[in-house]
Amino acid sequence: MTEESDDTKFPIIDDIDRVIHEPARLIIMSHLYVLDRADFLFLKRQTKLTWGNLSSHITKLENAGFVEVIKKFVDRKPITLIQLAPQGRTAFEDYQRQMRHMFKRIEDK
Amino acid sequence: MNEVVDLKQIERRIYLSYHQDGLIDIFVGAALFSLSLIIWLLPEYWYFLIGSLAAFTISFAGLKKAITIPRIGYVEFSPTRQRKTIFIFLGFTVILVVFNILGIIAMFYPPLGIFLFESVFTILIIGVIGGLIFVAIGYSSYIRRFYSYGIILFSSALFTTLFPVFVVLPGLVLGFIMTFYGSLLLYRFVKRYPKEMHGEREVD
Repeated sequence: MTEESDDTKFPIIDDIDRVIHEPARLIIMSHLYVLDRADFLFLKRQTKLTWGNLSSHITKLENAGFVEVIKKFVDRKPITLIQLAPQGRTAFEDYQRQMRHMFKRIEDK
Repeated sequence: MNEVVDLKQIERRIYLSYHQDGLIDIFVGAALFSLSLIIWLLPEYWYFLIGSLAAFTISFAGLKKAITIPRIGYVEFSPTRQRKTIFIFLGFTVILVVFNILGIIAMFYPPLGIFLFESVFTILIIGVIGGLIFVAIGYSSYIRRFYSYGIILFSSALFTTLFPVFVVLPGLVLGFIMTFYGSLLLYRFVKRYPKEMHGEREVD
């Protein structure tokens, strides 16, 4: 087997979205995928991240266009809500598919 | 992938975390207990039944906002989950409304009231139907303690059928147990999740 063909063994790895693949961001995306929207405190409680970590990961996801940060009034109080953007939902589903495919290929080997 | 991140498990955990405050138990338990007391001791004040039902519903929503949201945060569930929540409330509403109607019937039409409350099988039927509603709610909501409530309601209805002490015993027993257990859950919830300032970041 040539070196070149070895490189093409797992081409799918290169396609995996690194923004989602990071564990903390993966957990955030997974939570937002099953929810409609949630505020920072709820995500903090569920993911057990610190405020700083959560905020920085949300910013990265927002910059990638995967989540939307929206301001809303609930009972006349302003709250900041995070929800998965349509692009983020698609990216998460692609990521799921790719990972499943990759694990299947590893199992097959 | 699903072995690594189980989305169903996450959804289940999220939903359960929203109901680990015990407020639903306190709300339904206190409503059942007080309705049973009114029917038993003060049937002439039947209008309290409707009033107390409304008061409990309003206070439940208010307590959820005052206790739960400042501690675990605000969340809006997906439409599917929201439909299941509506099913839970409809289930409880059916139980409480049936209880109300029976109380009112007993008040306004004594012969039917006597037939309903003095027939040994009426309480058993209420116990079976109520118990099944609790089990269905527990199954659809993942809140497994409702299974126990269903069994308690059925057992106490069976006991009342076999040993007719007084007809409202199932409501009193289940109401007391739910309120007590809900209070324990609420205490644990408040200890576990102190109020926290929302760490909102600046948004450009």
